[in-house]
Amino acid sequence: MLNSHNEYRNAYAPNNVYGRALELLKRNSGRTNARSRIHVDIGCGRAAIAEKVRDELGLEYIGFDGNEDSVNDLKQRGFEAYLLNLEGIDATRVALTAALDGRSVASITMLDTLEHLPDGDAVLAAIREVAQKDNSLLVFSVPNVAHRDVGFKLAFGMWSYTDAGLLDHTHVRLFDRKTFEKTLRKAGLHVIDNFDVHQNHSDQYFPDTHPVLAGGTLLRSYLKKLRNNVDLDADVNQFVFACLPGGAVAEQPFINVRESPRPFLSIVTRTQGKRLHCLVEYFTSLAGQSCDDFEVVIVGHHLSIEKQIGVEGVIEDNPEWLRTRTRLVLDDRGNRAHPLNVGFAAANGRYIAILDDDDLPLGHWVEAFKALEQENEGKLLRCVSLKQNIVDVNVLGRKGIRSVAHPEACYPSTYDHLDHLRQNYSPNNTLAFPRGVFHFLNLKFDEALSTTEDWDYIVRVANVVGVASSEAVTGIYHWWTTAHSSRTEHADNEWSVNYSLILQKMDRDPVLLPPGSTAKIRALLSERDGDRRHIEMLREQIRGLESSESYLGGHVGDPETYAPRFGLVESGYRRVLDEELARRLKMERVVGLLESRSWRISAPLRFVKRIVSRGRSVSISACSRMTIAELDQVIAAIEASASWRLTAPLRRH
Amino acid sequence: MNDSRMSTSLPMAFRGDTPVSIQVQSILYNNRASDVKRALQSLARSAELAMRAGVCKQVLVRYGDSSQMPCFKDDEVAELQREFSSSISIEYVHFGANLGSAGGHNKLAEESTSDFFLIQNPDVVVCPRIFQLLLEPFSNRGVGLVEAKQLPIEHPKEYDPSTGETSWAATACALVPRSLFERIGGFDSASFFLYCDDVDFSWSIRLAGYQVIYQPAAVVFHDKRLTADGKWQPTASELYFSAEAALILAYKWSRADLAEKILEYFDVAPEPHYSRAAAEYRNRLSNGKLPKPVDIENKIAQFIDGNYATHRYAL
Repeated sequence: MLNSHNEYRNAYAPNNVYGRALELLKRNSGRTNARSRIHVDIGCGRAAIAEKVRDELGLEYIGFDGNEDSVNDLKQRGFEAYLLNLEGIDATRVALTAALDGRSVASITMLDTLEHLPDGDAVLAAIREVAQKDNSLLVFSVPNVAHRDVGFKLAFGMWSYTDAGLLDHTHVRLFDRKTFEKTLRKAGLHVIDNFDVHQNHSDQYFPDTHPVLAGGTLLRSYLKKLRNNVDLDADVNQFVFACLPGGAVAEQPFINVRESPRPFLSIVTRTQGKRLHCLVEYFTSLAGQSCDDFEVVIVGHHLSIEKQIGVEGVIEDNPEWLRTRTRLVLDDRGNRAHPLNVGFAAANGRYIAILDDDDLPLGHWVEAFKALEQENEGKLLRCVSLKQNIVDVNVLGRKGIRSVAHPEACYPSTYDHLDHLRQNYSPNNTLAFPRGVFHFLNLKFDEALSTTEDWDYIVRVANVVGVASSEAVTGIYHWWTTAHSSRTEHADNEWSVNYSLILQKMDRDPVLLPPGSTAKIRALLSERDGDRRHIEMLREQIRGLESSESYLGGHVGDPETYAPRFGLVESGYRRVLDEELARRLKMERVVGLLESRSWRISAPLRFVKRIVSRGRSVSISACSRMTIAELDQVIAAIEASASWRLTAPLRRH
Repeated sequence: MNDSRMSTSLPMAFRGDTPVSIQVQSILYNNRASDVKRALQSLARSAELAMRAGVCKQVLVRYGDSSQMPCFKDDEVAELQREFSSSISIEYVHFGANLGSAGGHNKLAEESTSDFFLIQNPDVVVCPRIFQLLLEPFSNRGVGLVEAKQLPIEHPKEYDPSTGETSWAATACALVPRSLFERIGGFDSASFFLYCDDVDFSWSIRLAGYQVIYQPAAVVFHDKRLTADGKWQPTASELYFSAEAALILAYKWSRADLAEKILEYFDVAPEPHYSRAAAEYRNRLSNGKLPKPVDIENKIAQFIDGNYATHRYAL
């Protein structure tokens, strides 16, 4: 469709579509027929590349265009030019063939033209026929309708056709990268290179007062963060592709099957093949699930051939229904996070869950997730796990797992996002992630983290889709007390470095909080203010006691001296005073421990409720009401806790 | 264990080089067909692997249905038989009465010619190598009963981490030679209906001089759920029959003193199932219907903190 409002008098520039097209012609020239000296430019308009093609590529330039003025202009500049209306395969082929008159073609360009053609597929097919004779190099470009300036505005109902540009009112086809590639492939044109034109602010960057466009808004920042994470096309203005002619593929450039059937859940499991007896328990538990709407993706990470054979053997042993829905994907790269990304990428389920090979699902593990999805489509789903300590045993030459403590309810029964901003309360086997965050938003596990990559991912996903919780206990999270696991094989400082990194990431971008969050934040701030007042009051009391102690100190053991002077000071009172002073000094010690950097950093390693057992959490205000014996117990518990010992290096001076 | 009691000639030992026949027997009681079928899928695969490995020559699955209304119609049984015919044979009988666990298993064991009985719940899902793993300990001729580990909630009873030797085996999934089963007279169905029949059975095997082995590498999935605080919540009938069985078990295994103490507790406990159990016990006692006490020297039975073995932790 010709544009009577704009003649597209854009000049050549290295960074615009003409410069990029010329560069593609140059760097792919080795692929063309060296004897051909002709370059054909279809829909050439004002032929911005004509001189460049002649002077820099040494080719004879021939232009074709539907605008007579453009053709005449080109002829006046000394180039061969023809009037050509791009309509249908036969007309295009006949016109091109006639003009070329048997001359072989080195390369063909058709820049910013395809989107104007009512029957672009036929025109491409005709071009491909011409190109195939001499295996000509081709370069095509189209505008990117998925530029974020267009997309952000469209999300809020604004669609702005313009006289020219991304949304030129004469465009009859719209392209994103995939559509463009498929369109070319369908015509038998195969992409071999690309050099796209990027523009941070496109011609659609208006009105600049729109909150999705104005540079300083939270909304734009949030959308940009998500969009930029998806792919590299958010700021692509025009796709510029180099192609070679070949066979046409059958796939249509449009989608005719909107959704493929897929299982509810993909269960992704990392294994190093070191604990095959765990894998047997794992599969036996999956075979006993009340809901079988799942598939299994086992990611073998750094498996030797022997270990691979072992894992394959365990899979092969399973009953057919389970065996046929289990895939082993091998992954020889990266750290602990890499196989998760590999597994998630291979997953077909609507949801994706991580189940480590040493954890156990209860019989309704899948069923409970599925029930939760019914009312919470697309949210991150979260159930509850109990923690149980285990060890390896070898009974009569066979390796087995022995539980050594009762399943402990040490994780909260509901998900609290604010709590998760400080530490992870959700073991992997409590969660099912919606497939879309990985497959459409491209949110992946951060492979820069060597530990706690799961916590980081939970928070990032929850920030986007929210979380639906069920209080159902559906899993057992095994805790090795003797063997190696991720908990034991990483150094203390590694945990704290990763912890700091995750906190930095959380604060780098804006986040979405679920409804009800502001009330929780207000409550936390009130609690904080209360604690501060309480601490200040206690400190004042201690200062008062210290001054009394100082004053009385010189008279200790000499009641004859001080009794007459103070009258009320008796040995009984003195004892009470001493005890209260001792109690408050111990409380200061507890406050110091709880406020210490290493205690706060060690938070992800432990569950505070367990320190002072029976569900009493350690808070500063709670400590103020404790007896000396109770305070001693708290101090001993903190100092004996695994996390306190693990963070010992942080307290060294 | 007291080795002096050890038998020198176990009727059926597993040598590993001679395939054995196994009768898998389960009592149905209002089970869902889908649960049974799911269990059969794994069992059939295990049988296939065991036969391929040359440790089994035949696996027969016998169901005894104690439900009032049959769990399966004839055509449904025929369908199951067809579906799994390549690896297992299936037999189904509707008892027409609730024989309980002990009585039902005794009934199913009648006239069997299989070398071993795998006694298990009808809905447990076995691991693929269950037959090999449960048979292996029988290479020791002193072994009389081998139990699989239940998932996801492991029973907390103590066992030797090297030999697997333990006080008793739960018959949610346990393997016993038929000859030994017959020699000790099967389960004591006159004394036990639903619970502790397996404890009594295990102790009878040990009394006959054989070891009871717990093999944690042999796993079965037995769908049990936990409360939010990690507790197992028994049903009302489980509470009642457990209470009744506790009294009878103590009496039978020559701990009448303990039975009296339990009665004292039951008498003051507010829960109705305790007073019902106490009344039933006293009724049997006065009518002479309690079993004859065995293990007079208390060398076999273990009554420890209300359990029948030392427990590694409270569940």
